[in-house]
Amino acid sequence: MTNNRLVALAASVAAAAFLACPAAVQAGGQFNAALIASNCAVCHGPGGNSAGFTPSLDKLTKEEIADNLRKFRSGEKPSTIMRRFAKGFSDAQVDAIAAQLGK
Amino acid sequence: MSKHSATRNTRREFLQLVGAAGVVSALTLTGRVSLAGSSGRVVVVGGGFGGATAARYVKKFDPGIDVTLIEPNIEYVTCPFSNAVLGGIREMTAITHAYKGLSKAGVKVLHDSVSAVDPVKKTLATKGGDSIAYDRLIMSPGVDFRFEDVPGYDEAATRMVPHAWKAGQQTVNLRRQLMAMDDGGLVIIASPGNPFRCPPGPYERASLIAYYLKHNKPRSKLLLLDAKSKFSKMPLFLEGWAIHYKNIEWVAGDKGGEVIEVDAKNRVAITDFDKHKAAVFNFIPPQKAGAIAHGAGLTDKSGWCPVDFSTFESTIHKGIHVIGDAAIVTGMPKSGNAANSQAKACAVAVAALLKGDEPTTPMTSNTCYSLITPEYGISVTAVWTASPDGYKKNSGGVSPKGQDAAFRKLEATYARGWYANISRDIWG
Ligand SMILES: Cc1cc2nc3c(=O)[nH]c(=O)nc-3n(C[C@H](O)[C@H](O)[C@H](O)COP(=O)(O)OP(=O)(O)OC[C@H]3O[C@@H](n4cnc5c(N)ncnc54)[C@H](O)[C@@H]3O)c2cc1C
Ligand code: HEC
Repeated sequence: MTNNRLVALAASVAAAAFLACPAAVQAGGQFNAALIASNCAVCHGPGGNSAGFTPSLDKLTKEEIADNLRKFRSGEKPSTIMRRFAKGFSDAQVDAIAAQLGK
Repeated sequence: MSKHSATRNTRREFLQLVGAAGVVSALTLTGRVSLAGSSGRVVVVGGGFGGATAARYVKKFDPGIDVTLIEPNIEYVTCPFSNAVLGGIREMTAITHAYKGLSKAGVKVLHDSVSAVDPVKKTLATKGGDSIAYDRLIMSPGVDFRFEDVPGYDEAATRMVPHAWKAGQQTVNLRRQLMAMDDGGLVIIASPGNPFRCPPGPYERASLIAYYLKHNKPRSKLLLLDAKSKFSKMPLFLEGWAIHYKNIEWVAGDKGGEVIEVDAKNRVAITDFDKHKAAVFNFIPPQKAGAIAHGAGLTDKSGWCPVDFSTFESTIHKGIHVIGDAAIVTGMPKSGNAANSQAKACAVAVAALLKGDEPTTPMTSNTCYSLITPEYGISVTAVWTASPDGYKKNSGGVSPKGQDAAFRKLEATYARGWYANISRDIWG
């Protein structure tokens, strides 16, 4: 069920980004937010529920996730790896990923 | 014996499942709406990093799709963290995974080996004698070795001179040889030219074997003979070795490091200029796509499989997708994490294609952590977007040089986090 919701959300987020944010679309093209967010699982665990060592994301709100990603990206929040990783995402992508994973 | 009958039982159960699925599609054909929402049949070959991820994620992205995973082994032993086993800091059981989690996720798991693929009829044959039809096939068979390129090295030679580049019995063999070796014995690792599975792998292996030697065989040395003159995360490895290991000597390709012949019986590595006799000799052979990719006619002259970058569909045979080490994915390395990320992108594309939708432009990512000691980790990471000529990097890079011990320790901890979580993402 969660997964159906994820796929539906992905489609609608991509569509919303497409309609509301022509600049982001020009910059990044159409993207699948569920796909991008699925790649966070390798370090943060399925659905952001980590087995340990790496922080869990499943207790964070979407605002907190987006805020963290932006702060990692700018370097305002220090990190070992998240800066190198988060710099790969546009603002529209950061918000769409956060919408996928956030509470 | 019991193993054999277990396999047969699994096959029988499987045939029952296939029978049921057959009925469902027959009903659909006669115009009745199937409750399963049957939107096609996907078969995945290979239950490693790429294949097991693909099977799980096709099901996740579209639960109506009938997904079958074919893998000969009852358990999968990961190459990631097998270097830690060689270094004596992890047990084999901690890198071994069963397929129960995938069955629970709704994937039909068949323990058999694919012996032939017919891309026109869209069927495949298994060693066990089954013929299986698919709408779309995803292949992730990993690598095989180019024994034909190295005089003196073949399947039989791998007992004396293990490659340990597919984890399992080979890992155990190399570990036992290291433990049995006298203090003072020379360990040789031979590293191949590009491209090969896991670019930082030979250097992590050198590090963790050097760690074992330093603490257990202090008079022993490790000679790393290399076909290359540059390697992945090289400045970071050299920095870490300068701090921790006086027992590693690296010979670059342009200094005659390439091993061109193996004398397995005497454990001798032969280069253009020298013969080096080892007490333990780990030869990492040059590689090519797994045998079934060749058998199915999916490879080009390079020995690897060309694919469309947004769907991973073979550019040779329509309806067959190739991911992971076997595929040519320009821009991305051959790694477990890359295979996992490609599998997810491929799953999205396959689900869309089966529905008749236009696939979106995928983004992928990869991180390879390496341990230099149990408490000293380094990483390389990247995020990519697909383009018609390969994967274009959005961001990424290696860990910064000159960091303190606390930073390296954090990355060693996060390396363990990566392993625990990617394993659950795939087999959990
Ligand atoms: C020492 C070492 C360390 C590594 N460390 C890391 C690391 O830290 N991080 C990382 O990301 N990567 C690492 N890797 C790389 C990683 O192991 C590979 O890139 C990854 O396994 C590739 O996945 P794959 O699905 O392409 O192939 P594999 O994982 O090899 O899976 C292939 C599967 O296909 C099956 N198969 C083959 N032929 C058939 C057939 N005919 N029918 C049915 N099934 C078949 C095989 O049994 C196997 O299970 C390391 C590799 C090595 C050697
Ligand atoms: C290669 C492993 C890796 C990947 C992939 C990864 N992360 Fe992280 N993440 C980390 C690590 C490690 C930290 C701790 C900060 C650091 O040192 O980088 C972290 C921290 C975070 C935090 C802060 C958590 C907190 O409570 O402070 C957030 C939010 C986050 N990551 C989100 C994501 C999202 C979203 C993705 C996918 C787009 C992602 N991460 C992918 C490793 C990863």
